[in-house]
Amino acid sequence: MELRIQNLSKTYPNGVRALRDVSLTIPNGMFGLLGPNGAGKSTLMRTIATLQEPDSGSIQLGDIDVLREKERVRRVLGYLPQEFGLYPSVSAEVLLDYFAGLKGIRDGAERKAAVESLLQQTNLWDARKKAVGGYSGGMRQRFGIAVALLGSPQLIIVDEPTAGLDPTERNRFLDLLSEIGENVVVILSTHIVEDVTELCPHMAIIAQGEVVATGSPNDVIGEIRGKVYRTKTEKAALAQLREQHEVISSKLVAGQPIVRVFSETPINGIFQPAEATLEDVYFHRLARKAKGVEA
Amino acid sequence: MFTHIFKFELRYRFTQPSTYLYFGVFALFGFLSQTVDDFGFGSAKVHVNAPDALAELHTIASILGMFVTAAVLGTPIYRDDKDGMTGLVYTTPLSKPSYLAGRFLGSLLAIWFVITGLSVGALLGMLMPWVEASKLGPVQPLALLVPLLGAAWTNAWFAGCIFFAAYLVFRSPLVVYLGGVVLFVCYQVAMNFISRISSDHLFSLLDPFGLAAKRIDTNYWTIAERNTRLINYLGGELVQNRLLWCGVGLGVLLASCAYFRLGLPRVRQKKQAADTAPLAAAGAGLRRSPQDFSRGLSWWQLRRLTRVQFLNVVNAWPFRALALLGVVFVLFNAYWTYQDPRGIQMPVTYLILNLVNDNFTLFFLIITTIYAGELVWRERDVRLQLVFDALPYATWLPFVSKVLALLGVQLLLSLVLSLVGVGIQLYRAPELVEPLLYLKNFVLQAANLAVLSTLAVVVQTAVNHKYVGHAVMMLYYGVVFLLADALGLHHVLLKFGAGITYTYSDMNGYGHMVAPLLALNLYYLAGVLLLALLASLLWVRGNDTRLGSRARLFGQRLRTPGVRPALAGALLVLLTAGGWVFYNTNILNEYLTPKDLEARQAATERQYKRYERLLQPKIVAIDLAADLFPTASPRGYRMRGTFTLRNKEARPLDTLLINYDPSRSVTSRLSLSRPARVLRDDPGSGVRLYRLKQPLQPNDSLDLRFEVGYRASGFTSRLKGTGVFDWANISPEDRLTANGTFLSDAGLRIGYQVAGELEDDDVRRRYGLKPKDRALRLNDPRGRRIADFGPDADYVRYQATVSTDADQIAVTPGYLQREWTQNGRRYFQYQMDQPMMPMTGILSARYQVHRETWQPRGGGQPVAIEIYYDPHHPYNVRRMAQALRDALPYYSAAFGPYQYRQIRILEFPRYKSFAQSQPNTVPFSEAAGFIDDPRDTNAPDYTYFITNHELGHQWWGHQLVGANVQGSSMLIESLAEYSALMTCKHRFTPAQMQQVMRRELDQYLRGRRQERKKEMPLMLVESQPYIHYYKGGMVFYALQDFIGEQKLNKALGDFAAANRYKTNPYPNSADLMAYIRRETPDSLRYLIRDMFETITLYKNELKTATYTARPDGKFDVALTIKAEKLRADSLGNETSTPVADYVEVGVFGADQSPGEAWDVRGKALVLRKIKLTQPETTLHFVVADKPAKAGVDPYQKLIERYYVDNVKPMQEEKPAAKPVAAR
Repeated sequence: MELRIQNLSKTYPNGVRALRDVSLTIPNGMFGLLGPNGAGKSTLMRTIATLQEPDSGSIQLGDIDVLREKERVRRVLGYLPQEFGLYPSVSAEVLLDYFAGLKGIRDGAERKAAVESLLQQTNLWDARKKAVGGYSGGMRQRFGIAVALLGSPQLIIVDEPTAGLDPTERNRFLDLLSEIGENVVVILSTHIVEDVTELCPHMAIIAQGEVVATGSPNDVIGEIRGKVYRTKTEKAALAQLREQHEVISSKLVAGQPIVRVFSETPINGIFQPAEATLEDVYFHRLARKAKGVEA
Repeated sequence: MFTHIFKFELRYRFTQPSTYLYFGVFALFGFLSQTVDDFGFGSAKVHVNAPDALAELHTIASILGMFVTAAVLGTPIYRDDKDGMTGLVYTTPLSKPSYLAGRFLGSLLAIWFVITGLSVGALLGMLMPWVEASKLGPVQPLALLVPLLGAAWTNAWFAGCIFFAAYLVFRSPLVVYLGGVVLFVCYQVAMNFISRISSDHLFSLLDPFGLAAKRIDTNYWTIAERNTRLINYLGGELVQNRLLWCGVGLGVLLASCAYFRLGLPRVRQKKQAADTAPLAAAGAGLRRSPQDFSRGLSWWQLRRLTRVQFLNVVNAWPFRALALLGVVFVLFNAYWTYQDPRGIQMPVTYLILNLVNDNFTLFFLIITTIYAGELVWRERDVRLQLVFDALPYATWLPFVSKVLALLGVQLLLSLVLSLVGVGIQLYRAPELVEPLLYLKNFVLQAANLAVLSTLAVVVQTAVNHKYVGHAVMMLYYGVVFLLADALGLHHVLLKFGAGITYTYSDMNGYGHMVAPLLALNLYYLAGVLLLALLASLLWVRGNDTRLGSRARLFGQRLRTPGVRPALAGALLVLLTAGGWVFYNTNILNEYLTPKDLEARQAATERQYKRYERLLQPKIVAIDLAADLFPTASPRGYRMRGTFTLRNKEARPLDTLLINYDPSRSVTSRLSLSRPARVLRDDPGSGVRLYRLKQPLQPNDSLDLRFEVGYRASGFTSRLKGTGVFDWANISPEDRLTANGTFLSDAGLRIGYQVAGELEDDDVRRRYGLKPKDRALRLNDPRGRRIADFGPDADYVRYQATVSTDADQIAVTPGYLQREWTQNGRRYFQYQMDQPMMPMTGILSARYQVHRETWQPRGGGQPVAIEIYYDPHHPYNVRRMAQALRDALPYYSAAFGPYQYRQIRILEFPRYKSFAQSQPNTVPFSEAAGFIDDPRDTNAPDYTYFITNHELGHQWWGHQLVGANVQGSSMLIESLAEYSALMTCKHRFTPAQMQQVMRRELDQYLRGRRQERKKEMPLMLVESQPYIHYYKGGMVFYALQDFIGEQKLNKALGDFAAANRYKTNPYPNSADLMAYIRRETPDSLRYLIRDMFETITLYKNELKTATYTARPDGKFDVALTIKAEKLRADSLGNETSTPVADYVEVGVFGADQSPGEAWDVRGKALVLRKIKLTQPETTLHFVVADKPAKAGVDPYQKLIERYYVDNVKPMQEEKPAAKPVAAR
C-alpha cells in the first residue's frame, strides 16, 4: 500500500493558505511529517483522514481514491487527532467497546479481546472502569491511540501523538507504532525532530503549507552535511552574529548560548565544524522558507 | 475594578452585531403592532396604541423575548468558560463582587437597551402616515414608558437574574434554558387558571411576567378605559406581582453569587482516575481484529448507537428535571381543574387525554427542540468529532440514531403521561378508563412526535448551529402552531406537522376524522422522511462546515448507491399522500379560506342588498321527508319537501328570492308549483331569483318544492373553529356523523338575508362596504313585521318523516305519529299540532331514552319528559329531568301554560358546545352538561341551569317572539336566563346562588371590554351575548328582588298573555317595559331607567364596620358606607350621577361555609334595603347575635365593577370607657 498525494491545496475562508500544492508519496512504514505549529500538518492529516475537503488535488491510497471513496478509506484507517475530548461519564472499557462496534468488530468475543488487549497495551487496564472524563491528558491521549489501533488499520495517522506524553510513555508509544509500521502506512506528524530521527525511514518537512524537504532523514541531512558550524558565544554578541552569519539555531547550555550556523563556504575563527543533524535541516529549511516568503 | 469590568462588558455588548439585531427584532415587533392589521393588540374600538394594547405588547414581547434575555444574561460567565478564558481572567487580582456585578449590570443594560427597541418601534409605527386615524388614539409617551419600565424592563430584570444565576450555579447553558422553562411554566399555569376569580390572586402572583396580574387588574376595564387609562404598576395585583418577582430575582441572584467561586467549572465526575505507571515491556504486539463490513452491520450499529444516545438523554439530570416538571405541571393542572368551584366534569378518558396532552405539549416542544440540539451536537460538544467521524460507519447512521433516540425518549414520556392520565382516572372514577382509547391516542402522539423529532434533528443538521437551530424550531412552532391562520396558511397541507384539528367524541369516537388523520399523518411522515434523507446527506462529518464543502459532500453522498431510489421513494409517498389529501380537500371538496368566505359574503351583499326591501311571501307550512344515511358509505342525507309560501302582503308579488346552500357538497334542486321563470341563478352566492308568470295575489299561496342532498366525499381541510354559535359555518361533514347527527334544516331561506352580511366594520371596510348597524331601531316598522329569527316565516305548520339507520332514533320537532321499519331502515313520522317557529333540527343517534311524566298539579295535560342520551353519559339525565320537573310548574304558574305535551332533550356530539331550544325539542351538546360531575355538590349545578334556560325558551322565543329590532334578544335570552335563575333560586343554597350571580356579573363585565361597536342599554341590546344573557340575568334577578318575585312574574305573565304568538307587529322590549313599569312602585321607578334604559354602574364601598357589645347582651353595629352611581356611555366613559337609591345593607354572623373574603356565608342578622342619598352614610343597628361580617349590597345584586370592597369583617370596638392616656 502506498499513499500518493498530488497537488493538494487548501485555503481557509479566513485567507490562510494551509496547503499549497503539496505532493508526497508515502510508502509502507513510518513516515514522519515534521513542521512547526501552523505549518499545515493537521490540515493535511485531516484531509487524508476524510475529515476535510481540499480545494484541489488528489489523494490515492493503493487503489482507493481517498477524496471520493471515503467509506473505503475509513475501513482501513486509524486516526488520532491532535486534540479531542471524550464523553465525560463513560468508562474506558465501555467507550472502547462502543468504538470497536463502530469500527465493525461485530464478533462479541473478538471485541472483548481487542478491547482488553488494547487497554493493556495502552496501559489503561487498571483505569478501565473509570469514567474517561476524569482521565489526565496523557491517559486521554493513550485512549485515543487505542481507538486508532482498533481493528486492523492499514493507514494510521497520528497527529502530534507524543505531545502530552511523558518520556517513558512516549518511548512506549513509539515502539508500539514502529512495531505495526512495517506493513502499514503510518503517518506521524510532529514538531519534535527526535521522533522522526529515531523512527522514520521516510519523512517530509512542511512549512507554511509547502513541502520543503522530503526523503529519508539521511538524504535530507545530506544536503547540509559539512556545512554546519558551531560556537559558544555571549548573549550580547548574538545579534551581531545573526547579522554576519546564517544562524540555524541557538540554545543555552549552562547559561551560555551555543550557536549553530550554516555556511556554504568553510568558516573559521571561533567556529568549529559540527555534525549536521535533522534538526539543523529543519531549522535551516524553516529559516530559508521564512526568508523566501519575505522576499 | 468594577468600573473596568462594567465598561468592558458594555463595550463587548455594544460592539456585538447581535445586540443591534435583537434591538431591530423588537423594534420590528413594536412597529408591526402599530401598522399591520391583526398584528397588534387593539380591536375594533380599542386603538392600536391604546395604553392597554401597548401594555399587552410590552408584556407579551418580553415573554417571547425571554430567549433573548437568556442569550444575553445567561452568557457573560459562560463566555469565559467556553473560550477557556477562565484561567486567565480568574487569576487576575479581581474581586468576585466587582467581576460578577460588572458582568451582570453591563449585560442588563444591554438587554434593557434591546427591549427598548419595542417602544421605539411602536412609537415610529404610530407616527406612520398610513395608519388609519380611526385606529389611532393620541400619542402618549407615558403609555409607552410605563409598560416599558413596569413590564418589559422588570421582566428582563428578573428573568436575567434567573438566567445569570442558573449559569453561576450549574455552569451549563442547558440549565439556563431550563430556568427559562420553569418561568414559562409558571406563566402557563397562571394563564390557565385566571378568570376563576376565587384564586385569581394566587395565580396573578404565580405568573412571573405579570401578564396574569395585568389581565386581572384590567379585567373589567371598558373600551374607554383601555383607550385612555395607564396601567398602574404601582397598585393592585401588579405591584405585588412585580415586587415579588423582582425580589425573587434579586434573592436568587445574590444567593448564586454567594455560591459561585472564581474558578474552573466543577466537572461532575466521580473522581480523578489514578494514572498508572507505564508498563516497562511492550509485550505481546498489537492485536489486529478482523472487521466485518458485511451486510447488516449498519443495522446492528444503529441499535447500539441509538441505545447509547437514548440512555445518554434519559440519564441526564436536566432531562429528568424537565420531564418531572412536566408531570408535576400536568398534575397541578389536574388538581386545579378538579378544584374548580364553578363545577367540574366527569373524568372521561378523552377529557383526561386532553388535559394531559394539552398541558404537556409545551414540554414535548421544548424537549424536542433542546434535545435535538444536544444529540446532534453531542460529539462536537465534547470535541470528540474528529475521532468519531473517522470511524467506518455509514454516514446516515448517527443521524438516524439521533432521530430514533429523540423519538424514543419522547415515546417513553408519552407512555409515562398515559400512566399519569390513568392514575388521575383511577383516583377519580376508575370505571371510566378506556385502555383502547389510550392506545389510539398514543399512536397519534407517536406519529406527531416522529414528525417533530425528525424535523428538529433535520433543522439542527441543516443549519449546523445549535442555537440558531433552536431559534429556527421556535420560529417554526410560532408560524405553524400559533400564527398559521393569521399568516394566511389555512390549508392543512401547509400547516406541516401541526395536524388537523380533530375532536374526539364519546358519541362518535374519532368518527369521520379517521380518514384525514391517517392521510395527513402519512403525508407529514413522508415529508419528514424526505427531509431526513436529504439532511442525512448533509450530516457534518469532519470539521469542514463551509457551505461549499458541504454541498460537494452532499453531491458525493447523493451518488452513493441506494440513496437516490430512497429519495425517489420518499418523494413518491409524499406526493401520493399529499396528492390524496389535496384530492380530498380541494377536488372532491371545495376549499375555501376564511377570506374566501368573507369575499363570498361581501359579494352576496353587494349583489343582492338591493332586494332587502323586496316583499316576499312567507313560509306557512313545511312538509319534509328526510333520509339520513349516517353509516353508509358515503354518508349523506336527502331532504325532499315542500314549503308552502303565502303572500301575507297587501299587494301581489311576482319576484321570489330563494337562498340555498352554496357549498359544493350540498346539491339543491328547487321548483315552484306555479309557472315561473328563473331570472337569475347564482350558485356562488346560493341565490335564485324567480319571476312568477302570474303574480301571487294577497293571501294566495304557492309551493316551493325542494330536494336537498349531501354526500360526504372524502374529507375537507377544516377551518379553525368558528365560534360556538357559528353553526352555519360548520361543514355538513360534522353535522351528519355516524352516531350523533344534528342537521339544522334544508338550508333554504326566502328573501334577502341580512343575517348573512359581514358584521365587523373593520372587515366590511376591507371589502369596500359601509359600516352597518347591528339592528333596526326599536320601533322600526319594517323590523316590527319580522320575527327576530329571520324574515322567511312567522309561525308555520310542520310535519316531517325522517328515516335513519335501523339502530338509531331520529327526532325532529313535533310529536311522533308513527314509527316503522322498512328495507332495514327505521322511519319516524312527526307532526306538530300547532304552528311553531320554523326551527326544524333533525337529530339521529343510537340513543338511550329516559322517560318521565309531569302532571300539572291543578289537573291539565300531562307533559312527557324525555331525555335522549348516549349510553356513556347517564350521569346527569336524572338531574335534567328534575330540572324540568321543577321548572315546568314554576313557568306555567308564572308565565302561562306550557304549549306542548312533551319536552325532549337530545344529546349531540361535542363538535359544538351549546344547547338550543326548538319546539318541544332541546338539542344539548355532549360537552355542555351531559358529563358534568354530579358528585360535586358544592358547586352550583349548571346542567340544571342550562336545562331550565332552554326550557324557558319554550315561552320566551316560542310562545313569545320579539320583532327583528333592538332589544328583542332581551325578550328572548334575558327572560330565559331570568326564568332559569328563578328555578335556581328556589333550588340552590344561597352560597351556590351567589356563585351563579357572580358569574353573571363577571361575564357581563368581561364582555364589555371586548365590545366591537358600542355597548347598548339592556332594552336596546343588539344581540350582544354579554348583555342579553349576563346583564339581563343580573337585571331581572335584581328587579324581582326589589319589586318582588310575584310582581315581576305578574308583569311578565301579563306581557306574555297579551303577546303570545303575536306576529305583525311582533312585540318589542318597550312593550314589555310598559308591563314592568305598571308593577313597579313609584319609589323604584328609577330602577327602570338605571337598569334598562341606561348603562348604570354602582361604586359602593363599606368603609368601616365596627361593633360594640351592649350590656344587654346585644351588639351595637356602626357601618360607614360610601355610595356612588355612575352612568356609562357606549364605550364605557363614566360620569357620576346623584345617588338616591335603595341599596341592600346587611350584618351577618360567622361564615358557615368557606367562600371569598367578600362573600357573606353567615346568617343575616340585619338585611334591608336602605335609601342612600349621600356619598357617605353612617348607619347604626342593634343585632342580637355577635356580628362577624357586614356589607353593602353584600349579595351583589347591583352591577358594580369593584365589588370586593363591599364586604368587610366586623371590628370590635371597646365600650366607650375613657381611653387611658397613652404615653
